Amino acid sequence: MEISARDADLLRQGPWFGHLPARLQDLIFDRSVERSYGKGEAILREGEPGKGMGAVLDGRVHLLRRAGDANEVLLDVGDTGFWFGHYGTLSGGAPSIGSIVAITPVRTLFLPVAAFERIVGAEPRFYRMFADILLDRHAHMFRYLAEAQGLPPEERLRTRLLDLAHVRRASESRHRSGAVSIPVSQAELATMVGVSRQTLSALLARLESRGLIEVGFRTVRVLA
Amino acid sequence: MDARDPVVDLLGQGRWFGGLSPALQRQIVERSTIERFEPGEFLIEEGTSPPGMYAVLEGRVRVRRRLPDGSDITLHVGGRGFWVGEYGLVSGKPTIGSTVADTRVRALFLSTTAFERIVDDEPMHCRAFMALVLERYRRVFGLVAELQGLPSEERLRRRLLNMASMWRDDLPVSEPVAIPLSQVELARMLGLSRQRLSTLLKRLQAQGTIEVGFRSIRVLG
Repeated sequence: MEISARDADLLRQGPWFGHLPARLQDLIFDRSVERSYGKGEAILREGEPGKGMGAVLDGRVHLLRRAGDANEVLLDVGDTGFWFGHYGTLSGGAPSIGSIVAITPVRTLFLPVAAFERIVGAEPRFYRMFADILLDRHAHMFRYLAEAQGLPPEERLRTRLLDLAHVRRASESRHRSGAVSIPVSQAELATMVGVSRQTLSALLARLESRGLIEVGFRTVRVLA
Repeated sequence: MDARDPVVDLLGQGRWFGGLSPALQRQIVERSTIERFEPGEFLIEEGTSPPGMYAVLEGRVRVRRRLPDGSDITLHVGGRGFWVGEYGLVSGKPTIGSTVADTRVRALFLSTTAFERIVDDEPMHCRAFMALVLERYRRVFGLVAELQGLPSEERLRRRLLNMASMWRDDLPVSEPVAIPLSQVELARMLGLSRQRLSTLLKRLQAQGTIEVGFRSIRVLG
């Protein structure tokens, strides 16, 4: 795709994409397509064969996963610079393990699985560079799996906020150290941590009084 | 080759190793060493630079993670055919959990250096190792969602079924899988009190999903 200087700069600021060799970055731009989605549209659907991976250029998405038969659980929120779809892509098209849904109008850069396969077919060493993004997420998920059950809710919330801050630092290198603002509502955070709105609000107040966060309107600033 | 390698025979029954090309299977075994551990010894220590990947040939290991309060939580117990250390091996980053010998353990050990030589000779092989990481990622991702979205009885049932399916991936067996976990460990794993866990286990037993034994749970479903 023809990528604008603004979009290219934005993606190059992320440490995963930013650390790829320039030749691979250019290949990804070259072989990707731009796709837009309306509010509420599914970008990837859980259980469907992996179609490819992408990055949010504008807008916000939710990462959802069915637990049991009925309910969908919110696992992550992403905005500009957020990469998704790496599981289905690295596996060469295995069924997606979660859904990505646009919660505002969303514009993405999207690398279809076939284009990914052509890139790593021509240069197998690039596969491992793509794998780095999934390995990073895996380390965070593994930690959360341990801590979610073993820690009191206040610490669990703190872990979750630090993870969200990590992903955002990862997409905005200028914020790599220091405070990070996470554009997440309290309703979203409550479902992500598995507590009621009332409990969440009390836990946030406690973390704020410990000087770890600042709560704003639909954002949480993680200070340490 | 006339006589089949007993290590390849055992590990070849497992889902991941069994799915690799015979040439890669042979390379892995040839470049590995056999290591022995006494109960309580670490195969992998959390937060250290990754030594490599192990496959349990005899005995049992526990995968643990240190919590910020300094205590440890058990995340998995693995037996014969269980592979561990794949995250550090492929990422080259500090390990994300500890693996401790639970009994005397004999294990196949593929060092990070040996792995790098394999993928240096044939970069495509990296993808074969990533298949194991992807499989573990898929499981962890699902478990994290179930933490939040499910009532505790269902969460417990699925966690036990998940572990049993990992055991069957390591070494297929026809009989029910006996998971060697104490109720104290299982309660901590799921964030439940001992009393609550014991009630839930009785319910699952009454439904015929499990049988509770001494320091082990047989998963029938």
